[in-house]
Amino acid sequence: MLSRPATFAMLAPVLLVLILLLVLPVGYLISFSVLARGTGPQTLGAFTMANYGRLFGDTYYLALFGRTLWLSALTTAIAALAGTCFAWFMWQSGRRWRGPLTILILSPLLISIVVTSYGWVVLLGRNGAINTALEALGLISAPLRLIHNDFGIVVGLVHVVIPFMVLCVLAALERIEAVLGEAAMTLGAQPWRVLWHVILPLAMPGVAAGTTIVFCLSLSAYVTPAVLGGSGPNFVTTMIYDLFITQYDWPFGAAVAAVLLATALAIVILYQRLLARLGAEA
Amino acid sequence: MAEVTLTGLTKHYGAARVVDAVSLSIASGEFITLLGPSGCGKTTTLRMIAGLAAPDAGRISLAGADVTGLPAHRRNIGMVFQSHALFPHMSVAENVAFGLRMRGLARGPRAERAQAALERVHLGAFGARLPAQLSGGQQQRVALARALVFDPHVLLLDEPFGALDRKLRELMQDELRDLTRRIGITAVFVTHDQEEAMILSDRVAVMNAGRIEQIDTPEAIFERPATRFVADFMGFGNIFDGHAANGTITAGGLCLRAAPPGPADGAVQVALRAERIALAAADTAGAENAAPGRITAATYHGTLTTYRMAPDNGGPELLVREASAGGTRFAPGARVVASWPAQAVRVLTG
Ligand SMILES: Nc1ncnc2c1ncn2[C@@H]1O[C@H](COP(=O)(O)OP(=O)(O)O)[C@@H](O)[C@H]1O
Ligand SMILES: [Mg+2]
Repeated sequence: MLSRPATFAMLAPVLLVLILLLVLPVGYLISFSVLARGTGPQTLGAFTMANYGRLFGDTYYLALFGRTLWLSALTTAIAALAGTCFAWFMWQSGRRWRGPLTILILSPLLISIVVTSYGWVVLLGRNGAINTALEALGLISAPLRLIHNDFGIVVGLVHVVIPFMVLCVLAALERIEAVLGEAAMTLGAQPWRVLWHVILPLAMPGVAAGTTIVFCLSLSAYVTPAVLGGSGPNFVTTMIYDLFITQYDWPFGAAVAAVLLATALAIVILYQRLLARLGAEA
Repeated sequence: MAEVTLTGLTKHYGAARVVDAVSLSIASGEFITLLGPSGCGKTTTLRMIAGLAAPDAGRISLAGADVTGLPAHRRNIGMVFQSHALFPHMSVAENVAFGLRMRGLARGPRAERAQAALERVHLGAFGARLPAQLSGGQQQRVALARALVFDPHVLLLDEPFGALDRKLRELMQDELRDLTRRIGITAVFVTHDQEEAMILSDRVAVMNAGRIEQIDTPEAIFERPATRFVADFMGFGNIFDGHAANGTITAGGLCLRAAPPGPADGAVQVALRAERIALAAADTAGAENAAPGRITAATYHGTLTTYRMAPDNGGPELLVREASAGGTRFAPGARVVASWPAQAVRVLTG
């Protein structure tokens, strides 16, 4: 064991970087949230809690938080289901397919989110490939509204976040010894019961880590809702952008950002507690 | 009645024939060991019996029913793996109850029978623990209880004690032998350790390159190996290519009489047990077989001391093993006479 000062000395560079890159800018930004707007553009006034009062007193803002949380949760649930299935498929497919499948699943990360989002516009837009095809087949008479709404946001978000889910679950699956599945079989378990009683429970730490990451990514996503969402503020992040850039209301924007950060932290902490309790019970 | 019957069981991996026409009939309640060096196909044979590997040819029947095409979960076999393979997310009791749960037993009777099985392996108080909280020997006992709790047709064990230290391994061997005899279960045990095979088994099948070389009682395998491979694996120490003429076998400068005698004429292979050769400083009268020579190497092993001796008449060196009696008796260069009874000489058939 190192002495306390020695430990601190070793941690100091990391702490310094964290403070410089994370705590200071975010802290500085949040400090705006307790100030009034100044008289001129981009100036700040005296101390006040009015920004928070405005946020919590207006159902418009609260509803936007609710929407954002709901869409993020929905994205997380879909990504968890699809990602776990895909990871399981990759795990089963063996060495030869692992490489190509890994590239496939990582592909959304290799391209800018802006590009992939506009890819969805091309595919799902009014005159996009899907609508054109459906019309040509005579299945619909008028184009379906597939983007610039919540559906578009969720589709785009799932696409962006799913690689993280797959990689987390795959890492957990990779740690499972193949002999455990064989042992279960010799004990009388049909394939689906091997999956249910042995493989899935052992992959759960990966699902837990994946859902945590994916939820945070969804909650803080900006490009996807901006490109694929409906008009006007449709997500907390796009509203923050709007407040800072269009309305120059930095104090109120900072208050919204602070509440978003606090919400994300609270949910992650509660979720981790829940997982720990489930883990202890199992 | 035969509980397990293997007929012409064959398995290839790529071009390699890993198991080659293995046929074996195991009686109900019998303890059989597949013994052989690493890579000879023991595990593959066991996995085919379990249904974890599919044979390319041949049949497997369990308790009178052909199970060749049946998946593992419908064979009702108990298997113990070398790496215990306990489910890390389940308690010891849940692990043991797993097979009963898969068989649709209700929670109550399940717990009762799992507890009884745990008590049988002296782990009655450990049901609530996780596998990671047990020692290696205890984990292997849990694996044994888990494999036995649902009264399988046959118990399969793949080098279950390979990872344990020597003392614990001996204890576990004793426990396993007592337990399997007491409940009268049919068992197929796999090991590369000939002593372990001797201790545990009713019969031993010695495997080499995917084939069964010889199958017999431990004593017969050890005393009367049929082939060069078995004699070598059983540690005879001296195996020679010789020639028989008028009932006398010569190998290099050695003149060997065997009991029972081999063929009267022609090329033969003979094995001579290293620990049945006596070394003496002076000429030993009355020995059936004797050869004077010079010690070329002496190695002290503790319990045993081994010598290498070059016979005066030329030919292959003799390996001699004797119980150490207060240290090494002969130094390299010492002149000795080696002698052995005819029963220590075994004429091999293949
Ligand atoms: N799944 C497999 N794929 C390819 N070769 C295998 C596989 N399993 C075993 N083998 C090969 O088959 C031979 C016998 O293996 P095994 O039955 O495990 O031997 P043992 O248990 O006697 O050590 C070895 O040469 C091994 O490399
Ligand atoms: Mg093996």
